[in-house]
Amino acid sequence: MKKNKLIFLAFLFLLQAGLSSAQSDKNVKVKDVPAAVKDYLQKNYPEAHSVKYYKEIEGDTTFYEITFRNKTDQYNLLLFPDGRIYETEIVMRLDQLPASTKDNIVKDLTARYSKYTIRLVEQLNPKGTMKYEIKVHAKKGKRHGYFEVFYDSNGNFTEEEEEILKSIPSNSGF
Amino acid sequence: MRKIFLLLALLAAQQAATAQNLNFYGFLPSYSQTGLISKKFDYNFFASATYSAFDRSFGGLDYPAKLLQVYVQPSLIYKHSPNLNFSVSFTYNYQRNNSRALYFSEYRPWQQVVYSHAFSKIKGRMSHRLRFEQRLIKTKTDSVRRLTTRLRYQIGYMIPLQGKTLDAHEFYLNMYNEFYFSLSTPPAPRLRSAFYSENWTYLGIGFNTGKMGRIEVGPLYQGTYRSPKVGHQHNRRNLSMLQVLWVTNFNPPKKKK
Repeated sequence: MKKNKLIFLAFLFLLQAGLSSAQSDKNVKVKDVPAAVKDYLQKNYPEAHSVKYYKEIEGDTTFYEITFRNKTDQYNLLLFPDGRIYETEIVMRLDQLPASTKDNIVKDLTARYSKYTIRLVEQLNPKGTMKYEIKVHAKKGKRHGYFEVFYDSNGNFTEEEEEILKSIPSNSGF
Repeated sequence: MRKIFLLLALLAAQQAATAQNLNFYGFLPSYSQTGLISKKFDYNFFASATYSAFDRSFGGLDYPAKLLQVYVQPSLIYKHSPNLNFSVSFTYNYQRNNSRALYFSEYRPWQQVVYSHAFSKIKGRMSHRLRFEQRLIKTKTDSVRRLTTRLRYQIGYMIPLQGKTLDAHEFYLNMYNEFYFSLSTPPAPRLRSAFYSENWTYLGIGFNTGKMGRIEVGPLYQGTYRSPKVGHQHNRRNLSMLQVLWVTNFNPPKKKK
């Protein structure tokens, strides 16, 4: 009896912890999304499809994240509940960038790595400052690695980070 | 997603419907820790204990409720890319089904490849695992270890239940089915397995606690098939268990310079 009580209390604790998470995205139903957030999407991306909404809480700030496809590109928008935009992320191809920006990025990548393969190109604008994030698998010196390289809106290098790979989570330990 | 659930339900129903031989019910506490060795290598330590929860009797043999198996598996993981890992291990396994049956201890080197991918329209990640095992088995009466080999293929799917990705303090589902193929038969008839020798099916619900790792609970069905050619009284063993798995992923804190 005492054991059952303990199991029940542990379950309640886990449930409560799950419901009161502090920093994560959560699925949210369309009817629970503020009208200002939905209006922003409709006004700026009328052709958006495959739309999904998430509620994200970072510290004291609540955001609404919208993921969708617009024409061929994948978009991620982060908005305040009153409909003001905080950040836009667009997954795109390198050849969609302005020619001079693309040339600068390619020139830098060629100088930085002896070999490289582009895995992802993203246009970001956190707090209104546009930048590009390029994820590459590259050979640097004598070794291969996974890198995230950041450029400003003109394609000038700003930052490089090496990704530390995580092993694939196992579905079973056996 | 519905199709995956339906497939798993059908598999489970099929296993239950044809189960006519040795049937055991139990629980399986297990622990897994993964840590970083370098940018390219991780290590994993996995251990489990299989308990039979009820006394059983088949063909005049008693199978008391007891510890059936102890499994200790350290492994080294090579992270070729975010989607492709290779691993090797030297595993230890101890089994004993009943007081009159021979126990066996086993050293099990294995090599595996895991490929994982996401889908564009649905959440979660699917993984495919292919493992080749060399089982070096020794019973109480054997003077040498006998070698048998297995090829295993596992298809798994893990899906976050509360957002795009699995964050701290969120629930998730984990499911897999694994097929075992016995590639060799040892001389001793009691150890002879069918070519399609085992099938494991699992569906678990998990919770990511954050710093303390993930806790997962769910039913695991293990079906083991013996070769009918050698005339075993029981050609099939069905083990239905409740698995409780604790998964951690921590590294020692970095020294401050």
